[in-house]
Amino acid sequence: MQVEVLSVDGLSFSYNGKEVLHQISFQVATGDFVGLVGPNGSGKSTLIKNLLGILMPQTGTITLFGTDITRFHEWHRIGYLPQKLNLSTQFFPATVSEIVALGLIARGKREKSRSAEDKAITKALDLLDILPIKQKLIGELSGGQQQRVLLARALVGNPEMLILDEPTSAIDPETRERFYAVLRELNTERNLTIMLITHDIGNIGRYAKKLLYLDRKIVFYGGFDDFCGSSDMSEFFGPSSQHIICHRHDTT
Amino acid sequence: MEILQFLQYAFIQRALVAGCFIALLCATLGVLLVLRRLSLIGDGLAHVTFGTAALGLFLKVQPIFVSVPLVVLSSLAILKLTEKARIHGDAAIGMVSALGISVGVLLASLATGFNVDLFSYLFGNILAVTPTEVAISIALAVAVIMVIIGLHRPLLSISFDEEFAKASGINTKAINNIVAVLASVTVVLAMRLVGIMLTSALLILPAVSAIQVARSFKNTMFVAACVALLSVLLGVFLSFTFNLPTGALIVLLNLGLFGILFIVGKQIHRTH
Repeated sequence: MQVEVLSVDGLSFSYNGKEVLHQISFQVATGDFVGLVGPNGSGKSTLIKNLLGILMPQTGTITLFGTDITRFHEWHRIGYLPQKLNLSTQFFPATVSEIVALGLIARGKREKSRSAEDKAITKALDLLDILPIKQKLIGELSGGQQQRVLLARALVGNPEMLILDEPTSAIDPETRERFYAVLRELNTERNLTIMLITHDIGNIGRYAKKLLYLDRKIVFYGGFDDFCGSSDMSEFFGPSSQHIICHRHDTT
Repeated sequence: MEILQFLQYAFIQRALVAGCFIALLCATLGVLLVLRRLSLIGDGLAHVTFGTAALGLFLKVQPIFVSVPLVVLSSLAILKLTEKARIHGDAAIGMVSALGISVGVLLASLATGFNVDLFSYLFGNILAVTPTEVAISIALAVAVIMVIIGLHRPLLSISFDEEFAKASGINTKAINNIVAVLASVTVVLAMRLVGIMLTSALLILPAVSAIQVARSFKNTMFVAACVALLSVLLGVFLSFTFNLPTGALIVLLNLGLFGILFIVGKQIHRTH
């Protein structure tokens, strides 16, 4: 049975009087893989910041695992992979293990013993096939490996939902394919709920089960079959844009 | 024999004790500042310290008592300016730093008689440190190091990825304020050791030296602390032996250690 993980109802948000999100309402259930797409400035990152409690809703409500976000404390149930690092990691003197451990200090999570912490880190690295680089410095890794380390940091607390903000924007196509494959595996085999912001509309249909098209308000939210078969969407995007999103949709 | 004789002097003992604590403090905090690209906040706050030291001398109060609260306020003002006034951090540091220098120059010209003392704050004179200053240095250094140890994970998280830290529920604003306060206290303490002009060097050099060879974050803190301690111990010894200015020697030794660790680091990275 699918359980509701996230519910957004009538969410609006403005920066300096300029409305960025208007009356957003949608639900995400356990095991969903939602692709969040939309043009630049459409409010995708603002929506994610609201869902993570970094920004607080100005109007409307957000419910996480059945609890209103203002009373929600179990942040360890949500893993987050930000858009990009704010600084160059080239000279950052921290090991992969130290970086992944940062995922264990999320709000509401009890401190683990050192050995339990090490076990959790090893498990997360093993899951993503990067255990051999555990003691390497983050700056010594390739872009794809760094991205996996950051995914391991998001997964180390064993979250039930994963939110990713354009995780593949800085990596090459081959690494991006492998990264998406890992996400699909996590979603199908571990029933991890995933919400992925991406500009990669040509590929999102191959991995996500649902599409949320945002342009300050929700333009479309539903399954890919509904999106691809919708004449309204064809009219809205034009047939070619709809085709880009739909043509590689692989339902297997 | 000569070293034992050297250690018998009370002023040398005071210089070494205060110097070691301040060195540890600069090294650990310096790593955090360098990683967050905030190295120059030390320079800016040192300039503010010049103004506050002049104010202390003008009011005939020991400068450290005037400098600590005023420099703390200045560092918080830098953060507020970047938040509220559409000013980037470097410009805010420049503004507050200019205020400090202006006040210092103005007070020095108004009141003649303390310019010699002010000069000692500009270039440091750890050998003249008083027992009270040693006690204050130890107390503040221990307090700051305890805070850094207690908050090392949130500090590492913010240094590496502030957005993720926020999403993890770390109160990044509070931590940034704490770092600013720690930096202020450190800068004021370091002015006695190396002087206002060279304070930022003591924050930056041990950290960048450690980054050349360290293989983890903890290791970076440890190596930075070792570099800072070694430079202070050697600096005080050479300064006494050859009658040379301590602050300048400490900074030059740090630069020398950076050169050595840079070469060692190249070899280490080649093998990994």
